[in-house]
Order: sequence, then C-alpha cells, then structure tokens
Amino acid sequence: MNKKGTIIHYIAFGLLIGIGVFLFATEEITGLAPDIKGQWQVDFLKDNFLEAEKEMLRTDVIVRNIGREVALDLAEKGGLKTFSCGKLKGVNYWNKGKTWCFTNEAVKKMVPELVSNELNKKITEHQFTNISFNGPYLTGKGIKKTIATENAKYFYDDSFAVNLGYSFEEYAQLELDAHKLVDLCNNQEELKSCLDRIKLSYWKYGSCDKEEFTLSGTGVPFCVVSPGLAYLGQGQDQKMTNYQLVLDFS
Amino acid sequence: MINKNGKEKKANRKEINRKEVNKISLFPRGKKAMMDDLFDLFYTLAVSILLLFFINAALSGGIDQSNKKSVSKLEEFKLVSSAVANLKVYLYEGGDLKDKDLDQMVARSKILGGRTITTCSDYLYEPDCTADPLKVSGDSRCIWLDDSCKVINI
Repeated sequence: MNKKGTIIHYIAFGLLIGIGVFLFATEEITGLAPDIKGQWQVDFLKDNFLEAEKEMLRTDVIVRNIGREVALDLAEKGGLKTFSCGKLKGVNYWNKGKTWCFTNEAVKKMVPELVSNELNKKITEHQFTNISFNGPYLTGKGIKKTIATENAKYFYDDSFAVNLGYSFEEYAQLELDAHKLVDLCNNQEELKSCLDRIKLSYWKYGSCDKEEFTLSGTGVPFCVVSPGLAYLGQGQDQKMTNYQLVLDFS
Repeated sequence: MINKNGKEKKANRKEINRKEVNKISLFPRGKKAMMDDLFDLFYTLAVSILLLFFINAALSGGIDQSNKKSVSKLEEFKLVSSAVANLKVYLYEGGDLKDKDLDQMVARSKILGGRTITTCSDYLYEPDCTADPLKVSGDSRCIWLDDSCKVINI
C-alpha cells in the first residue's frame, strides 16, 4: 500500500473513533440524548393540568369547611341570623303568634351571603358569584384562571360544587313541621298532649340529649335532630346536627 | 507481396492487442495487486460493519433510554394524578382535609399492590389498613371500621 492509501485507511479508523466519542459524549456528558417521547405532553399534564386540579381541590376543601361551619352555626341559632321574634334563654323564637320570623326563603337567601362573606375572607384574590345550594351540594361560579409555565398555558374555570354531607333544605321540612304544630296546637289547653300527638320523633322538647317539656309563658323550646341525620363539625369534633328553636303557642 | 505481408502483420498486432486486453481484465497486474484489492474489500467491509454497528447501538440505545424515561415520567404523572383523585374522593366521602398540606399528602402517596395510597381510606384490606406499611397516616392512625379503613387522630 502506498503512503496516500495508508492515510486514507487511518482517516477511516479516525472517523469511526470520532463517531463513537461523539455519540458517547452527546448521551452521557452533554445530555443531548434523543428527546424523551411525550416529554412536553407529560410536563404539561404534570405542571399545568395537575396543578390546576390541586388548586381546585384546595378551593373545594375551603368551601366545604366554610359550608359546614355556616350550617352548624346556623343550626345552633335555629336558622335565624337576628332575633326579631325574641329569645328564650338564648334560643331564638321562630314565631310570635301568627307572625313568623323564620322562613325557609330567608335561609335560602342568607346561606349564600354567609358563605360568600366567609369565602371572601379566605380566598382574597377574586370573588365567587352565584353561590347557591341544591340538596347537599354547595355551588359557586368562579373565574377563568391560568397556569402558565415556560412552554405552555392551561386555562381552567375555578367554579366549585362541593358535597357538604348536609342539606340546607332540611329547613323546609322543619318549617312545615313547625307550622303544623303551631296551627294545630295553638291555644290548646292541653298543649303538651297535643304536641305529643302531632310532633314527629325528631322533634324533642328542650334538649336533644335529655328531653324535658317546659312552657315559658306561651313559648316551648325545642331541639330538633337533623331529619337527614347529618353530622356537622370537623374531624373528631363531628356531632349530629341539632336545631335549637322556640315556638310560641299564643 | 509487400502489401500481403503488411496486412498479415497488422492482423497479428490486432490479435496480440486483443489477447493483452483479455489478459488485463482476467489477471490484473499480478498477484500483489490482487491481494491489495482483496484487502481493500475486506477493509471496506469491516469499516462499514463497525460504522453500522456504532450507528445501530447509538440509535437503539438512545431510543431504549428515551422509552424508559417516558415510562418513568408517565408513572410519576399517574401517581400524582391518582393521589389527587384519591383526595377528591376522600373529600367527597366526608373526609376532613382542613389544615392539611395537600402537596405533602400527594408527595407522600405510594403504590401498594398496583393501587395508589394517599390516605388511610385507600387501603382495601384490613391487614394493610392496620399495619399502614406506607405510613400515610402521619400523626394519625388507620383503623378498620365497618369494612373500610378510616383515619383517627391520636
């Protein structure tokens, strides 16, 4: 082989070694390995979509806690925010004779307001609108939010629909029961026996733990156990929902 | 006579040239040259095989690595996605997530028997529930109650 031929042979070997070194270097050192299949898509799902899901979950947790706190607080006050019909030992009167201070319609208006006020304290970046309840679900309309990363943007609606495990519609049932009691036992001489005949089992006299009939003037205090046997409160402090109220039989 | 001889010579020269040409194509430049050509052939073959081997190893190795990374990333996503779904179900079923660090709960999620475990309620069997091998209960405890695993604060 002549000199020129030898050089060409060595060049070929050099080329092979060069390719080998290049491939090794690109994979191991410079990190220029072939692109991972679906990397953008998986990154998008992880950094945008899942972050949005987590954010919505955080909102749901906050809303659920607020909803349950409002429900518990309202039940302890007998579903009334003000005591326009008066109080008996700290318990609100639902009526004064034929005048009713408690209405289920008022609860329907009051609950969204209370939830909205509390929600605006906890989530300050924007306000939720159209807050309402339907059965055990508390719903509200949020805004369109964006989660942006280097290569992608994800838009989502942060509206919520949370199962409270409790329905504010229990007040509608209680209102019906209370009207029936007052209409049928009003001005009855034997008030207790009338009430015993008519009241449903979840209506208890005085206290839910220790039932005791007391008549203060024309008012009878009641403790009503949740017809749906709903528990309210958080964690270990959960307890059966009881409504405290006084009915006037004048 | 002269012409005849000249024609014969010309014909002989042509015949000789034709034979020379045949000789060149059949037996080129002697034995050494033939060996050189053979070596060139083998050399080219060897270099081509090595080159193809390198390219193949690099490409298939890269693809394998890429596949492994893809699967690993997908597994990671699936774990987080399942953990978030578990927390949603937990909340829907009345679980208490107040003051809990959701990111930490998601990060602490692990897979047991092909199922992502985020909270105690994700354990399907009593032994798993009571032992809590993945330690998802944190400061609380998992207990088996009414055919399902529940969390209680200690």
